[in-house]
Amino acid sequence: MAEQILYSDLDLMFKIHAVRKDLVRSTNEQAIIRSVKNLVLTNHYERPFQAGVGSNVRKMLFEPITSMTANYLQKEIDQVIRTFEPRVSSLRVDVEALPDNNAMNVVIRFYITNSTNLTRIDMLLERLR
Amino acid sequence: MAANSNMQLVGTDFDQIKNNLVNFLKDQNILSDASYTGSVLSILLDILAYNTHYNAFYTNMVGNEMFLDTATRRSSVISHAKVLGYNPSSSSCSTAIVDIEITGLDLAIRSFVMPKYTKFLSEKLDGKNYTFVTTREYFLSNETGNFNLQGVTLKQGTPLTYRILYNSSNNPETKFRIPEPNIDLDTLEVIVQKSGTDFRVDTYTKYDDLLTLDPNSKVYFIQESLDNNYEIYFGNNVLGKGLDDGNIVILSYLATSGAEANDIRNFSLLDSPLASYDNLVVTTVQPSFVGSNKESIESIKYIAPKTYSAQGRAVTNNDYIALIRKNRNKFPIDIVNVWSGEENDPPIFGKVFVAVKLVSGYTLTESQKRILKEDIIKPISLVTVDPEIVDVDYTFLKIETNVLVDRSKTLLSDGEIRTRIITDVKNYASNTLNSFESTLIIPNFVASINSLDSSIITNQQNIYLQKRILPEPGIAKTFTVDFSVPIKRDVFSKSITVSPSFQYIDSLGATRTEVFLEQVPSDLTYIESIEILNPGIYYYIAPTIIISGDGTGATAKAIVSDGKIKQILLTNSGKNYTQAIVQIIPNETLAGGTNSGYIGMMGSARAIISGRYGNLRTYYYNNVGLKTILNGNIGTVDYQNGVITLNEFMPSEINGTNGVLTVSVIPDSTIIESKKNKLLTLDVDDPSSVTVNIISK
Repeated sequence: MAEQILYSDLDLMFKIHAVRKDLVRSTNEQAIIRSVKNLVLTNHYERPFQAGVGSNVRKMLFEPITSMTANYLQKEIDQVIRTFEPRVSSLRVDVEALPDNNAMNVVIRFYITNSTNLTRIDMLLERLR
Repeated sequence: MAANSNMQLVGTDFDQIKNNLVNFLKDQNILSDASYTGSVLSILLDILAYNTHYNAFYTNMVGNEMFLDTATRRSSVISHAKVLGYNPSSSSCSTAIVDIEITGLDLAIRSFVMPKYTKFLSEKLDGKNYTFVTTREYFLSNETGNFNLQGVTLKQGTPLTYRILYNSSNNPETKFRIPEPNIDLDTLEVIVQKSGTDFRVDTYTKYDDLLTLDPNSKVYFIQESLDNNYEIYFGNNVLGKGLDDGNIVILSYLATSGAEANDIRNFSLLDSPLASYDNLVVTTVQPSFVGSNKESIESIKYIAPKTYSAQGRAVTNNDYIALIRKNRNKFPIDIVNVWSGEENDPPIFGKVFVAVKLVSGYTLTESQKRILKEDIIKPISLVTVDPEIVDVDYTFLKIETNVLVDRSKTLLSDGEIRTRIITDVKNYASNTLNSFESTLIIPNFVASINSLDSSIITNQQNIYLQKRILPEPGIAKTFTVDFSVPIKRDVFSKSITVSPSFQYIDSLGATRTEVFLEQVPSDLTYIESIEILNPGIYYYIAPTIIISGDGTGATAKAIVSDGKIKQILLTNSGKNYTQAIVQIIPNETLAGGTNSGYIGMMGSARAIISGRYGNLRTYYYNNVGLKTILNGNIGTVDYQNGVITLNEFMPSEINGTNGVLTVSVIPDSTIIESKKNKLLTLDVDDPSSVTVNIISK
């Protein structure tokens, strides 16, 4: 039996379906993961008229890569997801400073509401310049 | 997919637009995540909503600017006014009049020329000097060694001249832009020189009437351009004479600071051969006035449609008002009121009455009235209508405010609260009063003061209306002072007073130096009611009320409750009272009763005396301080209509500085209207016009 589609969103890459030649959708878990990533990677004042949406991630990456910055980043990410993504529960965000790599390792774990599967997102955040 | 009928097209705010789009997409299930902030779909909707909002805002602004009523940009308002044939007035130079006196000149110097635009420097006003210039040449011949040049007109501004070579290929519309935005158009001179080698010149005048134009009319047209500067242009050889290639257009004018330079009182001569003389005195006859800024957007919006509907002819009252106000530059007109003869009391047909208040000064001089009537109003009036200029009848307000303040609710000092209230009262006066057909509603006034600060618990107003008369010492004259408001009938509270005191010669020929005036309500006066001023304390048994005064028969009884006097009821109104004092005699005895030992105290009340008419009498205090009546019937009072008449009033001197007598009354109404030529105003120059008494709780 096909999985019931509860959540459906456009694919960020706007890929074309090989057979139907229609836009590909991302659905359910995939859609929520995309949404969470979008929230984490959005800066404040990036969305028009919604200055509060987003986390301070980009700015934090230019701070010294220390456990204190990691702690602050963890709080920012945790807050933005809790505020703007109602479909996740039991959220846990871990941020580890990797000073040797000039990077932050972010692990986000949550359950999708009404689902028993733990979802895990791994992100390695590095500054580009 | 979604049904189109669910698409909401109202609202232009970003949030509304986005909500509409999200609700629209909720009706389908292919892409369901629009309502989640992080979704890709939501990001796309953000962009769409932003774009829609941007366009809606832009369209709204464009829409607004398309109509005179809603336009906010000056250039748009000017453009709409242009279609209505209205040319907004420019800045105008502040103007002063001075006398110049030089003494002890060497007789070998036979004459002087003081050229046009000779500069004078003003005293500092707000830390800034202004340059004033003469507007014409003066020739002075020296015969006695003394000069006395009287009535020199000075205008504030910087004289500027531009010479522009005209070339039709560069400037086919013959338009010339004036670089300064703030110039006085009345000082603009437009001269056209034939060419660089042919020095003959023609003076062009400002376009006035289309019907008189022909191909040889030497006129220029002027308009405010989109960048708020002025531009002038010339005729096309059909309507007005055009320019030829090689002509040199010479523009000269005064760039002015407008209203900023008003009220300057001292000037000194700058760059003239005369300035080098030590014994040169510049005396100011008229301090600088009439300077004004460019007509404001609000004024243009108000006047332009009215002048259009009047079409240069005055038919209705509003036509007169608009067309008279258009002459703001020639006359420092502040406000105008016009009413027709049949509205007048008594009706006079075939006339139109005009009352004009100038920006400074209270009344128009006879010559100003003549100019206003003959040069401004007659040319626009219908043939059968005779305009008549009526002096403005000023009623001055004097306001005493008692404010109860809860000290625990504010950090403001008494002085700060007082300043706030005075500012508010003056704002109220300038917004609500100071114009014709205005109404003072005292309860509104009280409410406005109460709302100033949360610490103000309540306030009480004593409003006095004042009119000023100017008796000529030693000449008997009848004065009628019409307040048009019922006047309070009460000798006790001095509801009619005249100040300052004056001198009068009595029947024996002796001069009484301190004479006062008071009201005597008519014979049929009685006590109308008794007002409790202080309910007192410890009145557990009703006190005895005794009414004493110059009348007879009035009796009253008190009603008490909880130790306070609640009411004093008249049992007999009595007669012939012009003055009455209410005495409250406590009746408590020490013997018996639960409250024994307490004597009622502090209660006070006053009697209000009634009667429609009354007389006025003059009195003085004799050498032992006894009030002595000088003239028992110097005038009459009609309390109901608010008219005070002084018959054959002949003081020998007024004990004030300027000879003005102020008649002050307490109105018996909380709504005070000003109609026709009556103007209710707060004298901002009089520091005692608003007094604030703060009572702390």
